[in-house]
Amino acid sequence: MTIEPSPAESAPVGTAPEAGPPTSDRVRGQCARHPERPAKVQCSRCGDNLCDGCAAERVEGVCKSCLELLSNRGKVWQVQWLAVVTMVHGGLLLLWAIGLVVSGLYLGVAMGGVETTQPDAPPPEFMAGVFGGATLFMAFGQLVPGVLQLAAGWYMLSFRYRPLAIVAFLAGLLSITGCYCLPTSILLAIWGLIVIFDRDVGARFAASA
Amino acid sequence: MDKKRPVILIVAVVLGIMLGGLGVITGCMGVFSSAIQSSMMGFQEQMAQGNPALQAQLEPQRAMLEAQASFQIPMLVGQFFNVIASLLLVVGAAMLAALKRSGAMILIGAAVMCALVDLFNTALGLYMQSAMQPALEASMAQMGQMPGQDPAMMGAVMQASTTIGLVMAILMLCVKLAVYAVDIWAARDATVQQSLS
Ligand SMILES: [Zn+2]
Ligand SMILES: [Zn+2]
Repeated sequence: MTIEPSPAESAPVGTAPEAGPPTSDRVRGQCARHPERPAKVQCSRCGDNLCDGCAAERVEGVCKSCLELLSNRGKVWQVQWLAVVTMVHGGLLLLWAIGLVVSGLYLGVAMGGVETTQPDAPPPEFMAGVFGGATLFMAFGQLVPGVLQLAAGWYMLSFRYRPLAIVAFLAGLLSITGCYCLPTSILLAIWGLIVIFDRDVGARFAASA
Repeated sequence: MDKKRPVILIVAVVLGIMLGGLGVITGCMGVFSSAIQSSMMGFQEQMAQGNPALQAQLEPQRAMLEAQASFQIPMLVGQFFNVIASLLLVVGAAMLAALKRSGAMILIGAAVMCALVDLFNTALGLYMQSAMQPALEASMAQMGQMPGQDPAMMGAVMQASTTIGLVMAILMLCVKLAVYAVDIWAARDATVQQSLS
């Protein structure tokens, strides 16, 4: 692999597209990886000459070897795992939300239809309303983080939308309203925030922002 | 972690560990809860000694436990296999994470085993519930008699909860079977097989 000595230490990756070498038609010479092919553009990070084929493999102007280098550092390898776990967790929250809505509606309807025999009992409609409302509130607390985590996990796979991931991890704490998923939500949030705020992970996200 | 793993392999590993962990927990809980229930009952009966009113109150609960006791052996066998198959699933997933080819085989075998065990346990649970229904209704009727309770409301809530519990058990089974299927599909995926040694 041909990787420049240490461009990573000298220049932050995220700002590369503007600050990097020009990627115009002034590029001369051969592709750094395929000497038989003419160079068309340069990598915005390492400045290597790239042929048409190599150019097609870039993400946001960063060449394939730079991406590999960025992906092999620090905690970056954990991001894929984090993404899959986040999606699975989000899917479970969604299932739990659907279960809560369906059973809450069913119980509410059943309670509303009761012919009460006690004069001082609260009216069944009131009971059903209180109960149904509480269940919907609980379901909402699962639905929001569920959807956010599914989306965040999906984009994390390709290192996009880092803020969405942060929001999704924190939103997981909303699941306290459902009494059930909170322990896993807290663990996921701790792990997720540690990984997502890692410097190398930040650099990798910035490369495909 | 030097070698890159395909995303589908990660999916197979994560689902396997999740399902396996869940199976181990529910299996152990099933065994412990039946043990705790019967020891609680013994304690309550000691408390009710020489108090006919209290003993009458315990009657439906005792009938329920008796109905449950006749299922003790199949239930324990079911939970035993549940724990074994779930442990295998976790082991297979961990080996797959380490890119061992045998891990994929263990994972697929354990997932099939888990699916069969879950089918058995859900069917047993539903059958047990139908056998315990009379005792359950008796205890509900008794709770309705307690002061400050509206028997009609109590009955409606209890009946609805039973229905929801039933539907949930069946839905839970369907979801688990679907996830086992996804796990098997992921472990058999061509890119996964290529990455194994
Ligand atoms: Zn480069
Ligand atoms: Zn090239």
